[in-house]
Amino acid sequence: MEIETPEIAAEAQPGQFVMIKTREGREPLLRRPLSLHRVSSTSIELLYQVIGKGTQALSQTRPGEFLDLLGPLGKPFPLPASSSGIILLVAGGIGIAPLLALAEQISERLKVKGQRSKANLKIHLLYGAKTKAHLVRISDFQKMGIEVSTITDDGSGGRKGLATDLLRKFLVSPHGNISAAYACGPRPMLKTVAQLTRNKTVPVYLSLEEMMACGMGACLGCSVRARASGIKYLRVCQDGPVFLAEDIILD
Amino acid sequence: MNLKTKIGRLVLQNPILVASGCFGYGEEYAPLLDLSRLGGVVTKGISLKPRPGNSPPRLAETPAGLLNSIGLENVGVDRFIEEKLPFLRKQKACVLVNIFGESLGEYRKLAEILDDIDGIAGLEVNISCPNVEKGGLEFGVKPDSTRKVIETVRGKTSLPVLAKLSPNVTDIVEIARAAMQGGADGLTLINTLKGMAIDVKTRCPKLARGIGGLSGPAIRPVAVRMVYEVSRKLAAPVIGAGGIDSTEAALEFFIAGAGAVQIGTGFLINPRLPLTIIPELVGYLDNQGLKGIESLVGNIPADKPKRRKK
Repeated sequence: MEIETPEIAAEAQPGQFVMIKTREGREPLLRRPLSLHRVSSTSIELLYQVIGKGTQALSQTRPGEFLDLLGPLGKPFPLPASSSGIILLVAGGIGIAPLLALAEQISERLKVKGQRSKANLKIHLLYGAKTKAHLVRISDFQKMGIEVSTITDDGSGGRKGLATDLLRKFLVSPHGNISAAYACGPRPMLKTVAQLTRNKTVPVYLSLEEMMACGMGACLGCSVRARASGIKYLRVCQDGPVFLAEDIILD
Repeated sequence: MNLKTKIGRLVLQNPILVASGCFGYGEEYAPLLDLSRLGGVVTKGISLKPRPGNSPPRLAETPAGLLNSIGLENVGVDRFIEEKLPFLRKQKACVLVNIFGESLGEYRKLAEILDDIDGIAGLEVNISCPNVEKGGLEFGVKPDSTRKVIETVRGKTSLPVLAKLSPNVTDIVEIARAAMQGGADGLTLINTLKGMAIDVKTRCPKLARGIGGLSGPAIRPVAVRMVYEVSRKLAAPVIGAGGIDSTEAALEFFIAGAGAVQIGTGFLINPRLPLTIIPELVGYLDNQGLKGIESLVGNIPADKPKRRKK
């Protein structure tokens, strides 16, 4: 869905999210966190799957209606520091959502820098979903010159397996130097991504999801275990949702 | 219209406060609202030593409710004084510090330390939290231990002291009486109700710790009833808390006998709520021909339920 919201769009950065009251009233009670799928100058786009009460309510909104949003919230994706090498995007299911915003931002920045540097930085998207029908936005990525590899749980698109199977394969074949990796998807996928990239010196950024009440860092409800000594938990809403894989412990 | 209200010796510029645990230490919300316009802010519960809190998941949504099992995660009193309080002071907020301890000694030490600090309007003593290990925080289920904790805090500070009571008791009036006997200036009614939710797909409790504290509109009738009973039977100053998500809800509490209210879960969902309620409260008082909040508190014309005219 696209939401006209100049104030939020003006400040929004890929990797951030908004807390949406999906329906007026008390059912459901809490806002829902949804990551920014696309950011333009006056609007934001959200991509979501109908899974529970919140997304169900959201799917019943009609064009022209007003939505109560709180945002933009959280720490955005840090952009790749170098302008050469490979940027790896790993998406599992609806985890594709924030990665489009990120890809568009990186692409935009490269365009600004000029065609020369664009040749030095290559973006690869490794994208896994349940079935072929669940794979979305492929052409949007390809339009930016991004190399897209897909895989599905049921093999309907060709390859059968998980996004992390694609990652495993990618890491052992000679593609060139990976300068940064960004992953978003189910917890088990993120855990595997962290394991597979454990010994790499490149920054691996994970975009997490967690049940939230305030989304602002106040209630301490959305904790994730931290690796740093002296800190037991970090807040997904405020210290994240984007974390360096090495900074957190995923159960 | 003057919305000033008094809870014991605690004087508030208006009766709308934000509840402990729903506000952090102020920094996160300061960009969104002018903290100096609130009647008061109650900090996250502070303990002597920092606490990391419970394993996630710490939250579950329930019908018109929120189950939490945060586990009293906080930075500890030293860091609070050094890092968090200065910010709140700068915002000119009226600060009530919520405190808890695992022993009388800890409550004593906390009261002693905080008594000495500028910029604190009062202490709110948490004597029951459903989210920590047994033996930790169940002082508030017995009158005797309730009285002892409040006496201990009272003995070390001249600040206004509020006792935040747990509803998970058989007789709230008894507990409230004990807290007032211990020297409390007033009572915050109520803390969360013990509750649980189960995920039927995984057949596991939704919270990592299983049991948590229920808040939100679902608990409002329980809170209103306790405010009503305590304020009637004891004539004690009461701050109402429990599922306030509208001006109408706040009014229920005032009429039941609360001199002020705290908004917790309602604030998480709608940070604009407190500042929306204040002018609506003024409007209501005007319409009712009432001069101020004090004339609304406990003001039930006849204590008989009237049938609504169709």
